[in-house]
Amino acid sequence: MADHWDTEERGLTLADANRDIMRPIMVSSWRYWTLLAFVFALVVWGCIAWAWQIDQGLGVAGYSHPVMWAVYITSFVFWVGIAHSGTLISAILYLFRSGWRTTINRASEAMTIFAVMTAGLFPLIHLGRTWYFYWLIPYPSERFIWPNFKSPLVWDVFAVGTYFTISLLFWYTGMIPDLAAIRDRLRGWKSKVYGLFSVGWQGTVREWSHYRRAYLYMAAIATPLVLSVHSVVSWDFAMGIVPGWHSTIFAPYFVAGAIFSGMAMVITILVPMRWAFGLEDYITDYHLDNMSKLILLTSLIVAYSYAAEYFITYYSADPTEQASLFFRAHGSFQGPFWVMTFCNVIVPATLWFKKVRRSASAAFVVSIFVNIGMFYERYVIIVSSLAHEYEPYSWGFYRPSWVEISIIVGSFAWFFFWFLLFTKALPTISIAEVKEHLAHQGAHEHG
Amino acid sequence: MSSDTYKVTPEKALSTVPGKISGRTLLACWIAIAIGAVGFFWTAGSHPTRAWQVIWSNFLFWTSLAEAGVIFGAVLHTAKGHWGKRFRRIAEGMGAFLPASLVLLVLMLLFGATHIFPWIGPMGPHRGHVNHTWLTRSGVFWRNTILALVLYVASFAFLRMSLRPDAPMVAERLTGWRRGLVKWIGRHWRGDEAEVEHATSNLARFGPILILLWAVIFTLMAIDLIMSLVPGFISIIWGAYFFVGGWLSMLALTAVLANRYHRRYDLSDAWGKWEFHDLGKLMFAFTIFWTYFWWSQFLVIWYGNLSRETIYFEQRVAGHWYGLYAVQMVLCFALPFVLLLGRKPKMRSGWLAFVGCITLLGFWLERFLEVVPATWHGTGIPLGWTELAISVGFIGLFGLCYSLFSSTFPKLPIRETLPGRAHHGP
Repeated sequence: MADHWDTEERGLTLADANRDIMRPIMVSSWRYWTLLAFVFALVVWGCIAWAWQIDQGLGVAGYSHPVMWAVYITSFVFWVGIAHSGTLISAILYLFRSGWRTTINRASEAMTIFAVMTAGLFPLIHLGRTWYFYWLIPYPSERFIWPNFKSPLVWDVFAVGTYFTISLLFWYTGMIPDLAAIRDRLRGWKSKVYGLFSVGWQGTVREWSHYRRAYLYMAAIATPLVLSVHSVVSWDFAMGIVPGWHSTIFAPYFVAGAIFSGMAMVITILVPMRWAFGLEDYITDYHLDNMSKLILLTSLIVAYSYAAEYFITYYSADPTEQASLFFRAHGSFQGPFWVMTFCNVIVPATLWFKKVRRSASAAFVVSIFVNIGMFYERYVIIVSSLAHEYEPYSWGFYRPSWVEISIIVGSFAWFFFWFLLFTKALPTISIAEVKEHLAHQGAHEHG
Repeated sequence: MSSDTYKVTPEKALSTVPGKISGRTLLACWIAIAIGAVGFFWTAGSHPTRAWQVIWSNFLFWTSLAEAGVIFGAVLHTAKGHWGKRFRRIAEGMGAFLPASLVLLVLMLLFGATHIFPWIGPMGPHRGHVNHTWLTRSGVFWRNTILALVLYVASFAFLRMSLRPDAPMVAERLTGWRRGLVKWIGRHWRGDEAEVEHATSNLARFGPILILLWAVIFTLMAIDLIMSLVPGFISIIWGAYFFVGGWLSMLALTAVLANRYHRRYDLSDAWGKWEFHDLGKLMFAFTIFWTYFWWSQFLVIWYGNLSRETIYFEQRVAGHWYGLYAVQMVLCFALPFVLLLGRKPKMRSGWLAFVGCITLLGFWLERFLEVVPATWHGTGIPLGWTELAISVGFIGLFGLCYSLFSSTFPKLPIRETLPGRAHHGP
């Protein structure tokens, strides 16, 4: 088994790269449109549920005192986490000169954009009176009603907004040479549209030089955002003194968890994609192996954080903290807790074995478990902590309503809807970087 | 970016093995150790807490750094980080301090514990917010001794595996006990391609286990040896904050030592500007990363404003400690951040060593401030001749241990200088 992406062995040429990667854009299939229609129907269903909630009020959600943050906030945190891997793969691995990112960065970046778009919906849904969303934004106000800058919720607006902007620009910058390549293969209005977005790219030496520099600087700017955005999200909870929330490890723990879930989602998406578009020569077992290793590493960090949290709670001799974490593992929410532990700690441990890491189907199954586990992790942190605070008279229970479940399902469909559109409109693998790799390997092989 | 092929020959790499410690170095180390011993015994009689607390902080500084040196090798093997293999031996050599660290730990816990731990003594059992089941004198002694022993044995096993492929060649140049030791490390080594591959894969397997042990054991030791000094104080990130600090100190010392050997043995073929650039980038990244951990802890504690958490920072930013704490932050973060921001400075080994010295001084102060504000109940800041003397003693002890290693093993992994082994370990 190769420990690198051997294009020579696979007989890939520059012409193959153009043809194979652009195939989904050039060729249509009824299966694609059927899948798109199904996903769209789920989005519509989610919208109907949301409209019902707006009309009837937040009472139709399953909120019951004291659990007033539940699956909507869980989903917000989950999707922001999913958004992490794109920037990690694009920016950080680029700075680390990890060549294996070449064929997976484009899809991961797209996933980042769509995940942030999905995450951004949930604060709006959770507001109830959605039309007042702009109160969170520090716009010049004649009435001098400014948001509270000490509130982590306002920090979220800045952190997620910045992350979305940079991720979008980074994604777009990386795509310019590919958009030009598509422009050159198309005719008519489509060629004009792609030409507009490729900003007159001709591929001259000067353009490439500027492009490389711009990409490097954007990678450097995007890298701190990987740490900042989920740290800020974690502080939504850690700043409060709710038992189970107030934790100094939350920032790095949330970042590691975000990379963990994000990498898992990349595998969840890439494995069916490479099968559907016949991209096995581009997204190889070697790539899966590296992604799986990152999942294993972040799983260990997450497991360390779980253990540290429980140990320090024991060490603290604080009865409130101890009761909260005991409740988490043995109380009304023990089911989600053990699902979380199983999916995030036990299942990823199978990735210690090379055979599992290099098997597309096994890595796909593990990634599904991790996605489930990470959704449950956010649910456990948010809901079980709120349900069991300081005073026994204020303890409570929460169960999501059909409206919430419909909106959650709709949000997943919303994410996949955008991703499906992306696979049809834009190259899912960076043609320019693949060609660069082919040229580099060719030069290396032939001295 | 660094090239992937070595330009140095095995002979050149072997020439960096002096085979003995120079008389000047040996004398300097022993004098430093003697100064430290005098400083300790002079003070221990009248102010035992003052003597032990500086032993405590120096122990934490040098031990966290030494263990991180071995872990540097483990990380490179695990992540297949080719760029760093040239600095591997420099960092791994720091592990030579670990036996001394174990002896010091045992002595500290046997004779210094009563002067340092506030939960021991007549008032100890009555302190609130202390887990008296976990924090017992014998429990802390046995737990930390056994954990340290396990970690250090594992570290030495890893070091042996890492040094083994070079050992037969190195042994030829040595005499006396050094020759015996290196021969023992390399015994039964045939050196064929299959064995090299096997050793590489063994190191890649053992690496993650050692890293896990390091994270878990250092977390527990940080809780027992530092966090428990402030009764009731809790911070879940504490363990990670401790070992990330050790890792950054190790990178700083690697830069200092690489600069020294680079000049002394003319190793510019192995450590060119691109290699130093990579090392500089790693130092820069971990300077930010460590500060991120510090900030994650500080912000949550400041915002939550719970007395059992704020007590740690109140001790350090209140009154006369504030200035020293600010200096520590400047040395650990602000200065290295600014000085490593540019591209060209990172390529200069002398500049990198200069920044490394700043970081090392900052982290020495950081460990001092982790311990002393909690244990010192006198007036003013106890930072005088006693502290200086004992710290000089530690420099001498660490220097002696490191010199034993560096006089026995080459500064570069020799196996990788052989033709055709540019990409492979161990």
